[in-house]
Amino acid sequence: MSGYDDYEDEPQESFGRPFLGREIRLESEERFHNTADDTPGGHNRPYLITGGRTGGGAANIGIETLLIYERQVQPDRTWSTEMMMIVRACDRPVACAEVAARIGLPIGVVQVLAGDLVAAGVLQQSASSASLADDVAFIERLIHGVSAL
Amino acid sequence: MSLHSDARPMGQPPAKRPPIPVKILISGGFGVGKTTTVGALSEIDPLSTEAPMTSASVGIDDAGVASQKTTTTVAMDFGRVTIDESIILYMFGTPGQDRFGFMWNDLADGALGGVVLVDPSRLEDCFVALDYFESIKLPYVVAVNSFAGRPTMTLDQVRHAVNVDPDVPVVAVDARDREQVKAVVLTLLRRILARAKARSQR
Ligand SMILES: Nc1nc2c(ncn2[C@@H]2O[C@H](COP(=O)(O)OP(=O)(O)O)[C@@H](O)[C@H]2O)c(=O)[nH]1
Ligand SMILES: [Mg+2]
Repeated sequence: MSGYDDYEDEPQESFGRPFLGREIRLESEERFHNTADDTPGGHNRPYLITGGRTGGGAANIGIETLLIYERQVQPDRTWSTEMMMIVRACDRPVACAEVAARIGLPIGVVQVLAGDLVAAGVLQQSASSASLADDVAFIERLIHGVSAL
Repeated sequence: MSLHSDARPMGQPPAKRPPIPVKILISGGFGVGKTTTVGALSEIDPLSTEAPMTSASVGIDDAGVASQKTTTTVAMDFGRVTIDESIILYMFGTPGQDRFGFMWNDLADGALGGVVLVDPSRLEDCFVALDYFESIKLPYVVAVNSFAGRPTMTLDQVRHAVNVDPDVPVVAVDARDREQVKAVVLTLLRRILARAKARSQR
């Protein structure tokens, strides 16, 4: 096939989307369930780091949630190596996913530990923009900002 | 949950509130140009990390069993754009594969909108993303990445073939071109704005 012309004779009908109408289930709680039990070896290590906990939990840390270390709390001997790595990566506002990518830990682990650090007052977390989806002034500011890039 | 504790030592300045992250999803089939799109606008080289996902195979798998659920991790890449001192945009390139309907809630939770990239020669690769965005009512635009030298379709033909609502924008993009990617993101933001305005008038 060499271009647009090849399509001219084809019927103008939808290919159909096979998944249309299929229920999409939202099951965030199950994220890690199988891996801990079913996979051998190294996969279990994240659960040791987090004491077996998964996900953002009570602190509600999303993958895009920005984290920042304000330096009002001094590092403490009780912090794990992984906590220290997270705190060091948060010297300016940085998304949870970016912290995970930079220090090489799974996002789920960073979500849990960052949640602990937020609860302990070490890290600050950003608000979510989800509630701003209907905020006309906010979206206009965003449009202005992207136009100016 | 309180972000600001009032119990700070006297004389210390209040902690500055972190900027707000804005998340948009760039999705589509393998090789459609997600990473390229993210990289075109990002101020950092796209970063990659593993995201845990629950997946359900749709249709019949090798064992003849429908809808078997597994937990898997998927490589996801993303980039960052600082909009101003209080808004940081993150673009997440999220995979979608034809045989798997990924349970994307971790990715989509709190997302403002999505871009569905379409390669006209592999149209059906975008169906999972379209279906998912529609099911969670996430505003999205369709961006047709017509790779040079490959068969292509008009935007109307693509719109017809993927069967999206008349008010969903379908635009062309060269994912390597920063200005074109910017235009796609702006199209998405204007759609989000239109929805916000419609809702605030109710
Ligand atoms: N000609 C052309 N090539 C592209 C375009 N977008 C991506 N590519 C190339 O297609 C390949 C796959 O792109 P990539 O962004 O990695 O796809 P992904 O799997 O969706 O992340 C890369 O070699 C890109 O350089 C485009 O708009 N035009
Ligand atoms: Mg990619």
